Amino acid sequence: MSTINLLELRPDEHIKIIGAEDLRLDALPELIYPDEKDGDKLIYARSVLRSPLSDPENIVHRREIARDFLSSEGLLKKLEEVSADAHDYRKQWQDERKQLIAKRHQDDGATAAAAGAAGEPAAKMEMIRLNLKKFLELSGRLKELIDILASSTLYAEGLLEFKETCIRMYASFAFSDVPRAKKILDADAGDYTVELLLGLNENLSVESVDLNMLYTQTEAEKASFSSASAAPGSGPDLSSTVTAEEIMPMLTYALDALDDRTVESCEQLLGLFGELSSELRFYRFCADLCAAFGKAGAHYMFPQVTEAESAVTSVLALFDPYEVLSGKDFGVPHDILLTPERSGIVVTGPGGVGKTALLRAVCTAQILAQCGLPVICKDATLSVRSGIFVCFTDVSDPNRDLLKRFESEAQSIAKIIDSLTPYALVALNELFETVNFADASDALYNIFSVMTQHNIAFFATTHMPRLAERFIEVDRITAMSMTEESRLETMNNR
Amino acid sequence: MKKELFFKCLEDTDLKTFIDDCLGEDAANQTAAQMYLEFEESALASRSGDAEFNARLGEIRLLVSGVCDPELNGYFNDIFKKLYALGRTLKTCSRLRGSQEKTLAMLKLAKELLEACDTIQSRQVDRNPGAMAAEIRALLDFPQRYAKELSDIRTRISYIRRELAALPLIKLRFTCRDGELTDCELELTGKIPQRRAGTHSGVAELPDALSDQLKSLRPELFSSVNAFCEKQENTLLTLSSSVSAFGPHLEYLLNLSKIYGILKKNSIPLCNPRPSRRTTDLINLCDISLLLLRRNNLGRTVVMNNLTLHRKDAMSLMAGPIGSGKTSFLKAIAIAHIFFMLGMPVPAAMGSMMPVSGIYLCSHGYDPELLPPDNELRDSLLLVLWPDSEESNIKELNDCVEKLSEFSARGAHGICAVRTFNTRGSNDTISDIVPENVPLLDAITSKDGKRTFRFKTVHRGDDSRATDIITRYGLDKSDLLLRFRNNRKF
Repeated sequence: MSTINLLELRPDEHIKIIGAEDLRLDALPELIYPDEKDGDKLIYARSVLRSPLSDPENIVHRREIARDFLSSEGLLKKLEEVSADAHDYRKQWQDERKQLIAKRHQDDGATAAAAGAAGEPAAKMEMIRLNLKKFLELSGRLKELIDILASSTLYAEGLLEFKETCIRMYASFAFSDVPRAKKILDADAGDYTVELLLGLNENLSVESVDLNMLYTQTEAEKASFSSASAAPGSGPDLSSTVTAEEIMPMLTYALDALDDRTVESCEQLLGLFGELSSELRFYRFCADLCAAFGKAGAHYMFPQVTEAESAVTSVLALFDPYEVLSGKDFGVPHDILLTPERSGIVVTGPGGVGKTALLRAVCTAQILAQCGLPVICKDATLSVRSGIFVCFTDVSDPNRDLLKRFESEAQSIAKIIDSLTPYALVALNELFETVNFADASDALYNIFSVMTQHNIAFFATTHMPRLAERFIEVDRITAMSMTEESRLETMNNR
Repeated sequence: MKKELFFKCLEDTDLKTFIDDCLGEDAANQTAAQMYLEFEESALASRSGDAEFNARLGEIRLLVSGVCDPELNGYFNDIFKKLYALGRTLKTCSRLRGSQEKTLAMLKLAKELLEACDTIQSRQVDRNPGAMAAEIRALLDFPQRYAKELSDIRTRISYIRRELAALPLIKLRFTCRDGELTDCELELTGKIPQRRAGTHSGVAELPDALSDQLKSLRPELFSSVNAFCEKQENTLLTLSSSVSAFGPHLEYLLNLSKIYGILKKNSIPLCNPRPSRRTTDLINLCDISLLLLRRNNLGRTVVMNNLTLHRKDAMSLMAGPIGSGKTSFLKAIAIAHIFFMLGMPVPAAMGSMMPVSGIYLCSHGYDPELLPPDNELRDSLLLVLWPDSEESNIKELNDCVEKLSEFSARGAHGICAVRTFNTRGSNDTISDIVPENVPLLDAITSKDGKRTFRFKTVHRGDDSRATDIITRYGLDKSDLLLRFRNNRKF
């Protein structure tokens, strides 16, 4: 189970994107991380863009945290440093454990059987000591993390809660054993007396072990550490005195259980750092994206995100981030408005004026907003879409039979229709333009009207003005034309 | 549809051989029997109306896809094993004698049962919500039906736990000196007092007298466990009957998933066709009957054909020379319909299908004995291989066409396959002779005159191909609306 929730307040069913290749989604991170050494970041950024969120609260959660990181200079970097090498640390610790195990096997081979039997608990104690040492180091790091969070000004609920989690963890029972654990570490390991308490479960096998006291011969140092863990079978017959041989199996169980417990505590901490470092990657991407937008001189903002049922896409002065970041001309800003009453837009215009770029910009803005990332525009209110379905005309083989092309497009659109979910966004680029006009316009008319009836928003482009004209004054659909200067105009019956 | 006719259909399509191959004979027979029951239930639903059939199809598809899902398959196998083991323990339980033995067996059983139910209930909704729904519906049925008994067992178990919690702790003390263990002691003692978070307290040492008392607790405890067992025995035994009812159905689904796995392994495209009242339209229907007999057909690739059947046209005519793949295509069509009615994915790329109330494959010549009475042929799929004869001629073709219209009048739809006949004495092609209202499928021969095992619909008249495509992919207005209506998300 996740202990920190910097990315999702509650589990999110990420939305489906069909046709992401056509949107050039993978190309956007490439413009931010052109360097080869940023390969990992690039892969991560791509995966972020492929899985937008579906819950507005999660989106707001991310956005608030991102704002805190953007405003509080250096906080992100410090947290990254503290949590950075959790993976390597675990590996190193595991190597050390392996070495100890190897050493134990060597010893077993070298010494006589009797000494070996007694040596077993000693070796296990050694392992527990190693775990305790690592545990102390890691809890020091946790303290450092708490200090960093305490010294920053935080507004985001997510970060405040994370701070609380860390503090609670530090104050928990396991951690209050730290000073005692330290005493065990300091004690002379040569000779000691141990008292173990074993609890039985309903199957009459050992269920809990308590290493209650451990003192050296002098009995000066006392420390204790507790454990609860399942361990199989011990005979139900009990007597008051036993020999070393008889005690051995129980002792082995007890020490194994303690080992498991200490490993678990360390793993818990390492897990926390690992998770933190993994979740911070998102905010690093967000910061890098904002920096890139800023550098290109574009105005960006975190859009207002509303529930899916409001079915609104309202963007003022939208730019395509791909064009902005690739250093081309910014192009002309566009205002887009989709509402429950007008949930479809059909855009026509001559080739090369930017219809497809606009279609991409609309879909990309929706995806960025649902990922909790900023969008290049003046103002935006976007409702959550339950899926983004993109279908571009099939131009893979220009020499292909026109009817075949039409068939492949029909097949893609049929697939999309079968996977549609309520309040999804569908983007169709120059579809059904290879068959005769009457058939194409009838088919599109049916598809569009059925989609709008079922609360599906769509954005379609076509270079056939007659096709767009067919949708003038059609219920719930706006027909628009794009001029040579890339300006959008609503079409009407002149 | 009569049981023996269904089994005959399984045998004639070689599906039975295939299932025998996949599952072994015993399991195959069981599966075939269950297939018949499921088929009949679907046919019944289809006679009751569209809504009933769609609901039934959705239900069984969810079950099958849930069990076939590679990620969930292991989980279902696990459940099955648990239920199976549980059934076995339940059987052996009554034979046990001796209180301690029985006690432990009962506890083990109750634990197993709770574990099985917990496994069923604890599955979290993951990436595949559709399959989840299936799982929940099918498997939750089990614990839900016995919820009362289970909660009873649960309360009693927790009672026993409490009792057992009074068991004394064992204290173990030893000293390690120069690497040797000495002064080992073992004693019974009281429980550690409950610790508060952040504090650490020692053991409450008990006086010797009390320690003796604790020792005497053990027999008392066992007698209380015994009493529990006696009370519980009857409840557990009634559960064994439910386990034996639920187990076989899950086993049937798991067997279907094995068949599915083999089709998948052989890269056969699989789809779930939309149910339709008007047309059966399958794109790239795979002729898996060749795969079924793969031992005899090594090296032959699976042939794909498109199939279109309209309710209004009823029977179609298929013509082709000997060995052009008529029989195989008919088998493929029959298998597709069986799979469709069972909720199994159909070996085709995509399409829509009409539900049928029976499937009659007369692959060894048309035999009136093998067909049901008139009134039962309605809405059935009829696949007839017209018997070959020495002088296949136009008269014979006309006989066949006449028979087709008779079948159509009886409400069946399907295909009648005839060997390409001899048109000597006439310059007409086959499409000229067969009346226009009978759809015609013709064998495709490659340019070098070789057979391709494929068939094409002969287009007669001047209908627009684009409209054809739009209808095929279900994009005309009525089909679009139907699709949204069938989409559970809307």
